[in-house]
Amino acid sequence: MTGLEVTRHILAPGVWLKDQLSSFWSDYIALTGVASENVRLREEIGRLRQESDLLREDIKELERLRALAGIPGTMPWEQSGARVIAGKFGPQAALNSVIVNTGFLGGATPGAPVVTREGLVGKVLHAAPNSANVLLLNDPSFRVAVLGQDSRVRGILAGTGAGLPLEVLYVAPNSYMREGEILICSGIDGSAPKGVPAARVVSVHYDQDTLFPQIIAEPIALKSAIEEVILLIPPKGTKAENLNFNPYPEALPADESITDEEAARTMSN
Amino acid sequence: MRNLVWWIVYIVVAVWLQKFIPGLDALVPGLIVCLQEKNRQQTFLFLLFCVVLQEGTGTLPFGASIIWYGFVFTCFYAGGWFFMAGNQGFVFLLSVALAAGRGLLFIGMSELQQLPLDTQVVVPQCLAQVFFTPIIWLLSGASRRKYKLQVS
Repeated sequence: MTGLEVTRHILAPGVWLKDQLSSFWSDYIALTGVASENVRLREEIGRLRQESDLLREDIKELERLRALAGIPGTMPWEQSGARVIAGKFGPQAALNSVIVNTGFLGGATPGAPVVTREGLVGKVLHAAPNSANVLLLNDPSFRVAVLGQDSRVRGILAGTGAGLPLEVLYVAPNSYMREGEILICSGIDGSAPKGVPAARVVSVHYDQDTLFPQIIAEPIALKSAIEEVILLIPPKGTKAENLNFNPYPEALPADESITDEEAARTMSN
Repeated sequence: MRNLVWWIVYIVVAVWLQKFIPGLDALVPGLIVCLQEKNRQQTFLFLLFCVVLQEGTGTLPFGASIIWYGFVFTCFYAGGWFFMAGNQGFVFLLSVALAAGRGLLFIGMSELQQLPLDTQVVVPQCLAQVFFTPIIWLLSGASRRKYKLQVS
């Protein structure tokens, strides 16, 4: 943890200077096309206002229906912004990870989901007071429970390595998931709020020789180098708050490990 | 005092190098410099810093850095029986041995923790270690000679 803090304090002045220079350039010098962009943004604001009014009505209706049916609503997760200060760092960086400048004092507890505006990026692996190591979605040890946005089919999204596509594991063989479908976090494992976009299905291949279909997906938010992220802090008293994330499989107690058959049974239910 | 400032500057540069070159241990050349200067206090303090920094930023569980820097010590002293420890050729051979050892350590630790190994990542990192260790060592040695900072 101390090493993370030392690294953060060494890198922070340079990162700050780079930010200042790039914002000075973009805010005061490179202003070509600003007027036309302004017009376009004003039009977009008008359209989004209309959309937001309609959605607000839908939310009110949903709240009324939930109250009628007695279904509890989802609790909001707090957000905390963070800046990526380094990528895979040092000789002991075995996992695909990045270092961010927010630590456990800012809410980055191990297991907390990390997102961008586009979708899920990863999870906090370990945290120092003011910095944290974030395990990225494409790391082979990363797992998150997902749900097809349209088909509502459950599966487990797994990374396979940097620059490689993701896999969707344990999808029920009789289910239908189509190419191009967005996979959202199901929230069933408590590791991320339900509805956060995680990946898009690229191909679905049903094979008679295997029990589960082979589904390949691509990350939505992790396409290029990330610079800023949002840490999602679980609401108090939820399962996610007590989540003790551990990427090392052998460290799990024997009674908590599940076999492929058990996973298949759970997913098909 | 000048020696302390030199080491602080070295550490800052090394951390920035590690930021831009994924997987590189830019502190190892500094450790080689320490071992060549045969100053036990300086070597101990720098080694302690290296272990704390790499363990804190790494994603392998505790202990990998201790094995890694133990391997650096072993290679340095074992190589010192056959070659002149201050020689450029020796440092190049040492960096090749370190890169190979690093790859093996990485594979071993990944196996022990059942982590999937990505060889497309490990091999370029080992090659970067072979390439950069002698360069950083040469530049460090030259600057220490220039400012007359060699302790022994």
